[in-house]
Amino acid sequence: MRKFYDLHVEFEWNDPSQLGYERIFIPFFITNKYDRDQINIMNVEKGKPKHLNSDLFRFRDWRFDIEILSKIRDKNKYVEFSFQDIAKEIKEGHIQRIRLFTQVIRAYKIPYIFTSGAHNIDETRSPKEIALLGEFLGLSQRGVLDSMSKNVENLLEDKGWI
Amino acid sequence: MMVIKKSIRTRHRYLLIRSNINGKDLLREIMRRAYKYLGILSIPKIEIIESKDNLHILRISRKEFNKVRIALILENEPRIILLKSSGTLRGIKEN
Repeated sequence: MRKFYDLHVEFEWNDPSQLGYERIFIPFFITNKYDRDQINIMNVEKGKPKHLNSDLFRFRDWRFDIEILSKIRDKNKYVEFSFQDIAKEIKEGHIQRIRLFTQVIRAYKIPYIFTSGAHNIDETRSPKEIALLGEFLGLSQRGVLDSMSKNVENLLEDKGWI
Repeated sequence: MMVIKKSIRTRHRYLLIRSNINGKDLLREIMRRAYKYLGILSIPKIEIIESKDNLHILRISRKEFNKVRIALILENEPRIILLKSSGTLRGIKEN
């Protein structure tokens, strides 16, 4: 049976196995320095990250530059899809931006990881629920579930944590 | 009694959810979310078939089933957790 991981939770969640997670991580939001002991997430504004030394790239305004996305793919880094970010955009009526972004991710085969981005217990979502949203955005259910298990395991292996 | 042809009948799917709220409040909350995200023209017929403790079984028409599921998970409070979906009531009651 496959194991699921949530790389972006911003509170102390005592029992993640309730929703089917093996382990969760509280990430470090990178500014300049890369922290080897934590999961590093870089917030990307206007599609241009400051540098490419990070584990995950969170495109907050869903703008992108295909050259930079290709570099992310070539360096075996991942793009983050946070459930709470997507839900916020949908509520504001900007779903078309995310659809375009996911189309590009699919077309250029950029590796991605889905996370919940939860700040409290009510914001957490199970892997199946996250996969449902991914399907709605045009990704495959299998791809989304793999992003929370296989891709995370690959990332943790690269960091030497597994 | 008039018999409705099988091909004309509305097809349903069943959804098992967990939520702290019950009865009318739950149905009102579900309809509010469906209205918010699906719009007034595509609101499906949603019924609560059974409730036991915090577990509830919903019956939703097949056409809008996926959209309703997404509408239910997009809001945070009160939390509605989707547990299982099935084409038959028997299937959802298993396990």
